[in-house]
Amino acid sequence: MRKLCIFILIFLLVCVGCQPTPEEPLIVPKDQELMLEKAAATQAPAEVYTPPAAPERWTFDQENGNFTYHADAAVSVPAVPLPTVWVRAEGVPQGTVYRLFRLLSQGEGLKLPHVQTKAEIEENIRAYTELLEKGPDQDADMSKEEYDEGLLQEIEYLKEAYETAPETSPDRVSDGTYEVETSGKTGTDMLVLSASNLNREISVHSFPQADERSSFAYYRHLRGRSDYSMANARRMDAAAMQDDPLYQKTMGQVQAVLEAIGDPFEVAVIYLIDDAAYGNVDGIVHDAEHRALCVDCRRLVNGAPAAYDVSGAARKDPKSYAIPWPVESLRLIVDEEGIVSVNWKNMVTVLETVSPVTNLLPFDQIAAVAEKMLPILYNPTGWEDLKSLNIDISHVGLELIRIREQNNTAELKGLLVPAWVFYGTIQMTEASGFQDYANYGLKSGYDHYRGEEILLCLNAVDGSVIDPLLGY
Amino acid sequence: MKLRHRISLLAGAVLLLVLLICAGVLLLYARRTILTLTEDQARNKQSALAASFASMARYYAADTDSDAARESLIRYCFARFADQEGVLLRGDDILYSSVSVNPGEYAQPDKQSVAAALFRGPVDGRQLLIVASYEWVQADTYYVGLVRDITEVYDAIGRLTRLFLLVCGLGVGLGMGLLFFVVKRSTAPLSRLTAATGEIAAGAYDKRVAVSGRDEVSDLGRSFNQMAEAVENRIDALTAQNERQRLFIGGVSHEFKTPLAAIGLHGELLENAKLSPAERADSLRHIRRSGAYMNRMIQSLMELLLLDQGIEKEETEPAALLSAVAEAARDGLSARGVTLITVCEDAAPLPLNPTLMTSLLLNLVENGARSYDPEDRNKTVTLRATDRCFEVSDRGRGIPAQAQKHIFEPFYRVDKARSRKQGGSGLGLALVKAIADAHGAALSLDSQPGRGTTFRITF
Repeated sequence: MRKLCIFILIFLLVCVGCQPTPEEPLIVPKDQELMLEKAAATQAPAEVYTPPAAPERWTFDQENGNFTYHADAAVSVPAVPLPTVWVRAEGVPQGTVYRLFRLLSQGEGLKLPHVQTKAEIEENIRAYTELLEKGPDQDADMSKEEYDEGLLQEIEYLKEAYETAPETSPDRVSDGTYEVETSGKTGTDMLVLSASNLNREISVHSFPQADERSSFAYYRHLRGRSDYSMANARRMDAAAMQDDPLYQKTMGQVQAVLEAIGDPFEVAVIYLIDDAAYGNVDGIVHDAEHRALCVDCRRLVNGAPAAYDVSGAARKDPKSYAIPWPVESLRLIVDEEGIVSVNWKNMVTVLETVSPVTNLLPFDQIAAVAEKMLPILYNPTGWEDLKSLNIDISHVGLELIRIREQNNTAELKGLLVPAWVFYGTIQMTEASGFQDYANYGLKSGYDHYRGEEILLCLNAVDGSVIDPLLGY
Repeated sequence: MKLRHRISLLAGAVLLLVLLICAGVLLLYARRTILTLTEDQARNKQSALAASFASMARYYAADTDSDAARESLIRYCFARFADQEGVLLRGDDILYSSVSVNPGEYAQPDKQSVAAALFRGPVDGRQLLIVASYEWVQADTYYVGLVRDITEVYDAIGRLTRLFLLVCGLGVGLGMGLLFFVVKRSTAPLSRLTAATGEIAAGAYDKRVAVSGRDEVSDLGRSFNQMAEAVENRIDALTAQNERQRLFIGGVSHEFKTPLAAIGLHGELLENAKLSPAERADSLRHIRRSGAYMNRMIQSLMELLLLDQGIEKEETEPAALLSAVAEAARDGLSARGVTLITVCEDAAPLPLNPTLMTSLLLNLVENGARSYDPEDRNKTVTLRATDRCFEVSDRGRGIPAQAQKHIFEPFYRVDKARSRKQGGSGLGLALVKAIADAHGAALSLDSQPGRGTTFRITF
């Protein structure tokens, strides 16, 4: 009996232990790695870098039914070599926040959000309970069950908050220090600064783990009047505005903000805007009372410009679990009174440099790709509800665009790689006749005009199309 | 090895074999089904990817002159439909890939055919499933591959296998434990049976085993008890027979010794001595009486022995029985001067052996006659038959209480000397008891020294 057991045991061990000899791995680089290898093959040292040849302007016209594609674009090529660098969306460092806070608060006390006291929570619970007993209004567009569920959730939340609520909540004045909160989505730390008074408000959210989108730093100075809009925005030539006081004041303010930020940025485009209500969209033309300059800035890496996208749009790839990662943008609005708003979104932290000088395709090949791809990317198929769509490319720049690290879906980490970025506008007319400017930037979404945005992005290393909203 | 161990082991081995076979078949089927489904899914996905890519690429590449534009277009068309599993190669150029292996080294479709090639196996410690086919766009051939990591599928199969083995092991363990317990309980009666057999062999013929239930082992137990009962009865019967034979031989040798001695003595006298005719007649008389004595004793002993073989009964009128006894005892009683009084009181016929009962009653009557001394007056023996009962009474010397305990033992005599002188062999009352026992009747006596004795046979 014992011998039999031993035999069976040995037999099982032998069976479990025998495994096929693993094959030698055949490791090949992924296409991103190939691209990096290609980019890193430098032609010449940086000190003798020769920018790629490109015309001063690029023109293109094509029609596809009622879809038109027009380009009469200035082509800009930096004089400095474009590197390839790793970046990560870590938000805004505390030091930067302190500097921005001191600059933008102008010495005024900005209070931190009021923390509800126990008494206030009790009052709120009482009020919600009364609403629960009262029931929804007759013309409410929700069922009683939905109404009750919503109120009960609120009451439950208040009861949880009551446990840690203070007895008193004196006003706290912020000094720009982050408060650490836990992200409800990821469970990791997020840094939050939210302070305001009657005139100003500052809000900064940072995700140091780079595991969640939408890091932002936002400032607004209320004017007590109509807000400025881009409805009547006109792109301005900076050279022509040198003598404009508003321009001079604006540039001073922008420079102060950029110094507070600390990272190298430059002005990319300037719009003249006003506070007239949304142009003639509703058929009513309002007179503008005030004007301001809307300044879009872009990051510099080793002196080379990075692309920007004020839409803050990002698309979630249905084929991937990747967190959406919009392109960085920094927009300031400055009027006669000073800074109206600062909106800095999706900032990145530059990590190591992969290649200081990157090999690039010649522009003529890029142009051929653009002429081929524009009608494909914006083709009428699937847009049957549009009467017409007009693509107008106004500016092409050789810049750095963010692409995601391949196969990394849990972290906002990627590369800034050289790309030819085609900026412009999309104007469309719906079948009903309704016209609007829209940023369809590779079909990201629909919104009102926000200015020139990325319509096409081609990898300057291999000519492949980059969707800035997906990041690859 | 004990029977219960062999049975348990055999049953456990059968159970294990059955479980392993079932588990093996199920596992193989599950594995094949899972892998087939996985392969089919991958094939379908690769086929859709290849078709969509090729369709779009062919449509847009038709009027593309620029190599850079064509390559960008090809990448874009593939990226439109591919995810992280898609791989696009053109010759040795990797146009689109998110994986670290070259699928072309593992799945190489036939360039002359549109059929897809499939590879499933280990690569760099992972289990990969690669499906690939070639697509043609203008003059270029593109390798459209799908690389899927199915290590988790294999891990799941492995977990399933281990779970099966664990369940099999537990099942076998529990099953064997239960089997062993059940078999042990089932075979415990056999052990008790074995022990009982040993005890019986050692002489404890009254040993029996406790029997419960209705299974084969219980039947065996009952049969064993029956056999033991039969053996005990047989042993008892043989012992009794042996005892009787011993007694018979002992009694014969003992009782015959005296009359044989007398026969020998008187024979020698007749042969050798000069005897007067009176002395000669006396010697002959002694020889005759001794012979008759021995004859009676032999008859009695034979009757005793034959009683063991069972008796035949018939419906007999007690009155007739009394008459037969009175007739048989007349001469003897007359010679002793004893009067026999027979009384028959409403006695119904009884099933009995008339010869043996006659012998029984005759023995009691003669015993009663012998209880008187020659000089006693009014010597009577009463023979009474009532309903299912016979009584024989006398008013002789009686039987002492001490002797009453042994009076029915063979060859027992209260007064040996007087009994032999009066012709008693000591077997009469033993014969009476044996006959009464053979009839299933109760034999009792009531006697007081000096006042007489009453023997009672009750059916």
